[in-house]
Amino acid sequence: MRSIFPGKRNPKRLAAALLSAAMAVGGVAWATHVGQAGGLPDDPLQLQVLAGAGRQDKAFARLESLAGDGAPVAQRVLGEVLLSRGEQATAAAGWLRRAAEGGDTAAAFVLGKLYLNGAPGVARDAPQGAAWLGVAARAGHAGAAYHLGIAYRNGYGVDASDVEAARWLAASAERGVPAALFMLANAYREGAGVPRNEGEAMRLYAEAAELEHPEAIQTLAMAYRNGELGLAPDEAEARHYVMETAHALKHPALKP
Amino acid sequence: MSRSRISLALGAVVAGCALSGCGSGGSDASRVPAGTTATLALLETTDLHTNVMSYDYFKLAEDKSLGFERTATLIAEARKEFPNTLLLDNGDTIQGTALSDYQALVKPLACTETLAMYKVMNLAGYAGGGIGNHEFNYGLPFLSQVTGNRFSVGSMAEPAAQPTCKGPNFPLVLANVLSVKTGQPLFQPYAIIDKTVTATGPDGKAVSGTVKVGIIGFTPPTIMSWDKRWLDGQVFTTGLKEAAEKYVPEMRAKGADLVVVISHGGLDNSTYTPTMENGSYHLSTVPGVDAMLIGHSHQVFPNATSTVAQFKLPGVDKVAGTVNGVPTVMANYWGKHLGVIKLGLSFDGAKWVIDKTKTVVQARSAQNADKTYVAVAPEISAAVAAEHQATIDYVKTPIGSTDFQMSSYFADVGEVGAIELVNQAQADYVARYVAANLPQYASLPVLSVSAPFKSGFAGGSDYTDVAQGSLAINNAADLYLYPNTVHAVKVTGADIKNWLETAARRFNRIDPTQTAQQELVGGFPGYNFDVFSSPDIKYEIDVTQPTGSRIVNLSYKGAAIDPAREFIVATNNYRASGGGSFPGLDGSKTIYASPDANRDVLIQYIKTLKNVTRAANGSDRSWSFRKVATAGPVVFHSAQGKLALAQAAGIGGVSVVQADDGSGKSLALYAIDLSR
Repeated sequence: MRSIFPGKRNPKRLAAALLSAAMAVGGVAWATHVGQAGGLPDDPLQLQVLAGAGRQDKAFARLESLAGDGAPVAQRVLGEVLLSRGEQATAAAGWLRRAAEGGDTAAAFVLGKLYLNGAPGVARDAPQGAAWLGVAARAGHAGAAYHLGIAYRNGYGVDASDVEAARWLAASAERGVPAALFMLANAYREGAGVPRNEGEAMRLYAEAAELEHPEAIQTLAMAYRNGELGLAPDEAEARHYVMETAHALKHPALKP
Repeated sequence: MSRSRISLALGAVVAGCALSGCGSGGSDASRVPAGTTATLALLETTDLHTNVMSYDYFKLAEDKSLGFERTATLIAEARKEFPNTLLLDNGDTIQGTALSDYQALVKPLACTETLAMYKVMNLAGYAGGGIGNHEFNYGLPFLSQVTGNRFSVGSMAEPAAQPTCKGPNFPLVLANVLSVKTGQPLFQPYAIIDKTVTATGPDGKAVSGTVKVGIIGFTPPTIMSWDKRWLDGQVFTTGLKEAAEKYVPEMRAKGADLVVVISHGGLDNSTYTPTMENGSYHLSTVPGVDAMLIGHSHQVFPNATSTVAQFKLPGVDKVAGTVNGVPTVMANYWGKHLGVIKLGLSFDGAKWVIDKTKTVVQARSAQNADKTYVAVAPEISAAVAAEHQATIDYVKTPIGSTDFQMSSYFADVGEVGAIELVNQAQADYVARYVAANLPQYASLPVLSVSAPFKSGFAGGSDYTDVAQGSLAINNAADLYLYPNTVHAVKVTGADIKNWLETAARRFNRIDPTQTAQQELVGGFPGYNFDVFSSPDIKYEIDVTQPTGSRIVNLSYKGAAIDPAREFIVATNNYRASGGGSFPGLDGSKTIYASPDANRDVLIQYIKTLKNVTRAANGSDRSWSFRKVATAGPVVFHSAQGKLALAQAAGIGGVSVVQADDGSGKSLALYAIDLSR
């Protein structure tokens, strides 16, 4: 049988051997290209990566220095890095509060979540958490709007209200937060806080699915399987979405 | 044939580049006259996910709609069409089918062996590839081994103490993932490929030249969340833009005529951050980027008819295939498409430059206009025949046995024969996790719910039905239909009651005084009919009451459940994250979001048990209908001829009303006596 591929009949051993030899020393060769000492960025978001996941003490010290100088973004980022370390929630709350009071909306959001859930050293205080989420959500923070919607859905620190829940989920969904799109779709499907509207639910599920929200994709799989949400049963489409669900579950859209 | 020689030479040159970065440019100046022109087509595959064969390992059947054995035909056709091609892969390559699981987890690949996926990519003559997020799914040691690298990370031995294992015979590039231990990139960030091209001199005669093609790879920084268990403390990511701004000038300085970005990510024009998942839009604005091969989103680009939001952004031309003027292609997923960026080049006396008027971008489908598919390239299946067969054998391998037929035919009237084993596996898994990792919850009871996913909607064959006898991996897909992952939620007794009230919406409200026949089951889907199946928890469903007031006599270990008492309930991501709109379930009560699939947890549980029995794994009915005498018959539908299974399961009061319910869906009409 004639090969459709070039090289099929040629042994590749030489190339492979050269390649593995090259790779063996590749790490050394690249070492000269990426310096970690000195040259730290000034951008707190880049420092966050280096000090957080990168575990670089110098980046952490630089962040502390910027935060001490009063930069709200650096204060918030320092708070987040401390939270990610898991043991310094009290100090984190202090930095986050300073940043939030300095007008950093994202800090108010993180602080709201912190109080809503509690952490070692920071007692759960749902009303305070919901209040900070409200500050951020009213300033247009999409993640805060999502969590505020969930707070209203459950009555976490606020009086439970499906209408308020749907209102804040919609504010978040408008800015493309996948979990908000999904929960708002549920609300339209059930008529919870909004008039029941399967077409709108379907539109929102599809938008969340496009953003790799696994539960939204699975909802489409089930809907195609059972002929729900105005869809005709379609085994091939159902199977496609089941496979996409499996795929998305390896990298679900992150919650705000 | 000449292409063979080029391919071999290319492999060797690439290897040299990996080491040295390929030195200075302009080597063509001595032998290629200015004004020489050439056509070079970049060919992209992405998100292949180890779909080597056009085959579905769950169904154990051919699936022509996917598979590299068909993409290979598209590649061969493109090579006939264009004088010069460079085949590159975008990543999400080594994970995604039972074949990949087999080679990573079931019978891990030996150091001296090549992954089936890389085998066929070697055969196809790839020049390079990127690294997607799924490459990290099996952990760093596996990735290190199968790519022929020796990672320097804290959790692994020093590189010098590691063997150099067989990888693909083309370079893999990744610029934005660095080792915490060393601060250095995990892979080589870029490679510069000396691509020999046939070109046309200004005199019209054919000449041979060398185009230096720089390739640089990026993966979503969000891998740090998705594969946290493998990556936390080992590696970290830098932003795509920062990495590109650092390396692209370096590649140019080393003589790259072209810089091709291999970015495993889609397009997102929201404010740039170093951790954003889909950074390709922002990469297009980095000076010096000539073309982008993108992926991750499982979409087709360019695509004039696409309604996808990311292709409607300002600066994105979904017809021409450009992003802020940079030619860009995304070749769908599972080998369904081949991306093509045709570049017209001309040599200016010192370097090769792109004639932008000649650029053409296409995503070519393996499906023909008449809905048929292109033929397979037979050498692909030949190259992986052994691995393919081994995977099929694995899927069919007995992992245990059952002494009873496990079915969902009568789940609506209390049968738990296909559910209890799932609940037991979930509860066992979560209880062990909590004991080991969540000491603050160690005192809470762990319960589990699951639903009959296959509940007859599509007819008599749409039920779980696993025969008595040996159990194999593929039976687990019948027992657990969806690819969910295990989630655990912390709830109160009151939450449990609300949960069950929602599940009980499965049933119509029955009027006991009505003499006419009443249908028991309404439109509420079976996949939301969550039930417990444990001797510890008991409840009755009173179908004569309106929804929301049906759960009665709810007890835990013999005593009425305290509404304030806390429990952990094992379920799946769909339910825990809000699927089905259950009250209080929206992700906010999740205490453990496991990356492990419910189905895999079930498989492990069966392997541990070995012998599944009706007595131990299929008869603990937590719920029953509250007894009520009805003046007329209460009926439901299930598959035909299954009454004996209800009796074998100890479900009393069921009788056949019509052996065929007339729906044409192989269903029978059964009655249930609610007074028994």
